[in-house]
Amino acid sequence: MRVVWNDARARIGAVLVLGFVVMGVVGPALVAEPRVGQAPLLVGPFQGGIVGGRWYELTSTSLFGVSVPWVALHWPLGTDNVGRGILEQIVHATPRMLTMIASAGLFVTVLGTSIGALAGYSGGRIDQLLSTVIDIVMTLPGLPLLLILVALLEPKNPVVLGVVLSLQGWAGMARAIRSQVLTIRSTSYVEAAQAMGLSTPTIVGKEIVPNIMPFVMINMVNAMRGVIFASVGLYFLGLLPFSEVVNWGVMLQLAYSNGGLLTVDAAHWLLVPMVAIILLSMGLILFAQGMDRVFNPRVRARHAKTTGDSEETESTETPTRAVSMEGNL
Amino acid sequence: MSEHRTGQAQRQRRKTRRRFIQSVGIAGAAGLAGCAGSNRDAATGGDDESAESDNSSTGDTTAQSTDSVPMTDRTFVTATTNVPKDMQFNPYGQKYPERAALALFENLLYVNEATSTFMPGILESWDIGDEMVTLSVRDGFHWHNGDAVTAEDVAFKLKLEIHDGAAIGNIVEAQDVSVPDDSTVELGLKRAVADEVFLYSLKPIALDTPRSEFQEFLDAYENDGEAPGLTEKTLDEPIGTGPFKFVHARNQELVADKFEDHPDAGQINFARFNWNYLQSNQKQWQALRTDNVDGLDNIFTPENISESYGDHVREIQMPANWGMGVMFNHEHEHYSQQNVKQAIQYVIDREKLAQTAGGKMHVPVEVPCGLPGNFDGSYKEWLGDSLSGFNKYEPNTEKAAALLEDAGFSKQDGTWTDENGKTLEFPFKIPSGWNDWTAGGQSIVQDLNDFGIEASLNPSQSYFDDIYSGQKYVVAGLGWPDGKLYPYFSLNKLLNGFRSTTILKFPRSAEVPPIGEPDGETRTVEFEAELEELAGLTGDAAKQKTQELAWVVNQHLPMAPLMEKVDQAWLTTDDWNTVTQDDEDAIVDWPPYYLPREGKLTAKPE
Repeated sequence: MRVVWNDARARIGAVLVLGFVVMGVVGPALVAEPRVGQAPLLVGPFQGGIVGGRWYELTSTSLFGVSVPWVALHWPLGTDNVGRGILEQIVHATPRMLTMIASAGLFVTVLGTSIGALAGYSGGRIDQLLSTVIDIVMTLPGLPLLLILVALLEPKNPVVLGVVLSLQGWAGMARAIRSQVLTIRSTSYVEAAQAMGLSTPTIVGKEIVPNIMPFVMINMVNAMRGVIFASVGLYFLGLLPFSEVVNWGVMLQLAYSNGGLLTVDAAHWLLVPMVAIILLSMGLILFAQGMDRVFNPRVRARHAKTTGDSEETESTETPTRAVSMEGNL
Repeated sequence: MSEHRTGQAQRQRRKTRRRFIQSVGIAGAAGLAGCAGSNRDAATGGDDESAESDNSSTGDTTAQSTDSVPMTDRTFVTATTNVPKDMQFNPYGQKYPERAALALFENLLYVNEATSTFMPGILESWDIGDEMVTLSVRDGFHWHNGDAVTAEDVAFKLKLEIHDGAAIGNIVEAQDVSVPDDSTVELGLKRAVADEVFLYSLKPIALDTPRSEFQEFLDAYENDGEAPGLTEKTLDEPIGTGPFKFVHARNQELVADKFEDHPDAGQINFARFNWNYLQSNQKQWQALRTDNVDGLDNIFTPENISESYGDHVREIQMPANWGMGVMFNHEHEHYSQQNVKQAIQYVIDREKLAQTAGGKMHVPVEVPCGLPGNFDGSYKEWLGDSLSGFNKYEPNTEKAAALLEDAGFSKQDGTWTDENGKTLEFPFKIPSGWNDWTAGGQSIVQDLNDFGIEASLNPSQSYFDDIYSGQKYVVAGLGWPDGKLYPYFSLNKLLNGFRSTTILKFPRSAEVPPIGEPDGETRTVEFEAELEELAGLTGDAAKQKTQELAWVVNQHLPMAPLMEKVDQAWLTTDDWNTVTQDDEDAIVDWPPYYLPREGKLTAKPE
């Protein structure tokens, strides 16, 4: 864990991703559900100023029968043209966004890695067969296929949506993993392991997978990012049905079509979901880059050494300080 | 944007009408009581004449006697949502630009939609009798190729319309159109009709079919009864009759120059009309904000956008006599049930809906009965004392629940399901890009979901294809009234017209209890016969029949009427002299096209 934490990118990434997860898990319980007509229309963000504005109010709430001070928020990020809070919409769309992203990431990773690794490691007929399948999936025209599938299925369940939107994503990943595995398979240490008579699962698990893990991670994150953009895009174009604000793309679409680009008083409606999308995808990328250090054996070795070193310096420092203190006395 | 599509709907309707009429046969004797109107009508025709000459004096101070406005080189720039290059100026084909056509072609007559006052166009006056209508053609109109417009041209156009299945065909047979002299057309009526019914059926007709191009199709109709090539006919360049003559249509713009041989040319002091292709609401708002257009014919504009316009941008609000309703597909197992439709009408909070869709532009329907006029309450006059008997469908989820339970539905896990365990869904399809409806749709969907109906909002880009060819929908949003204040038209649309028969698949007759007694003894109402009867009635008899049919709508809800809207037209005043919406000529479709004819939209000297 410390390895990850020592890297600034990973730190920022982890905080962002964790923040969104917390927002998705506990947010909906804390923030009121967005409803049409719950507030005045097109209220600006931080109404009345960030300090001393009308958007917050110090009250008290009872927690296990004890009255504790509490801050009540009144549409802190403003409202849209039908009187729904912007923050409320962002928060309540988060669980669905995360579910969709996670299912897409999982789907692409599991399918891509297993098929790619199987093809690369086993070679021969299996490789030929799987490679053909991969090639076919890769050459299908992606966007038209997506539009047709979306029109046919009209997916509302975020899991289904995530899988549909990343239906082609696994093929590219499998292709890349296959070639990686092919290279690693013929390295001397894998051959040595084979010569030592280690079982295939052991070799794959101990020698091959750690070597492709960074690659898998970055691909997974790319798939997740892709599905964010794809869903936002499809909602923005109005190709997916929605009954409420289920996706930040819905917000963007509504904001844009109601003049979010034209007037200042609707700008927050457009900006807030944009910022959310940027932060989440940036968080994912940074986190994946940071994870590189965990999985990459060479980087990990170097890190282990530096962290070891720092511990040593610390331990040597203490007596020195003790000595100097003695000197002072 | 929305009104634009109703034109498309009208064309679709015509095509189907044609088939429909053939099957109906000729209903000879229907109108009985319509006699009283004829003399008054002659007077109305006369009034219109004088009204026209009054126009210059009743206009505000910026108006405009014929020779007081010096000519300028200005171009009036506006917007079109049709790709100019793809426009087809054959009114029977696809891609006819309904709105730009108002500048290129002259309508037979014009209507002030707020008061249902008819104003002369090609026709100078009209005399509507019981058996015969006499139309007088105004002198001085010319086709853009130089030929004078004669009564023959009008008769030709009317025959073509009748053969093509236009509304006028329900009243007049093609062979009963005759031309006694160069400026008179006489029409023999199948039966007596109310003046409004006759005149409104002329309203959509413009003189846009030069005989040199379209004669073959009328010949085909007269010889074979059909003219299959008519919809495919293309014209390289339209030969118009309006005050502006087509110059060119390119990818991004349509251009027309002032036509000097138009009788109103003296009122127009600018040289050119230019339509920029601005396909979405956002683009049109932006163009008006940045002064890239001088006016827009009709576009929904939310308050925050209109407030961002400069002071020189003037809004003209016009009653649309039109607004959002829910279309039920009566072939659907759930929405063919009266109880389900009534439950939906009970659940949707129309007040909140109108507020959400844009409070100033929409009013909720007070009594869902198929009569427009919720802005000024004029529907109440038609309903008279029977009003109290009508169901107002004030939001009431308990009544809705009782109705659904009666129909065999039960609530399981918070969702209504029918006897077979099938959930009651409400996939609400609306045209994409209609901002006010998208906002309103979310309010509807929320109300229904709260109640336990699985509702979703589907803004669709292929909306009109889906609805008109194949009726691929369960529930959809579309205008419920017909754009006219006179109630016959909306009732006909809901109970008898193309919308009712083909799109809603509403039954052709219904069992209806007496007004105000939902549990009373029922009688069978045959819609076609009763609406034909209503078309011929005037005065109290028309009122009585209107109430009976409105009651059918109130009970059976072919559509759920929800809102009525105002149309918003926009004109800029920095380079243009124009009138406000208090001027009666401003409330004619649409100000940028009609006002120049009256000299009430003129260019300021450069």
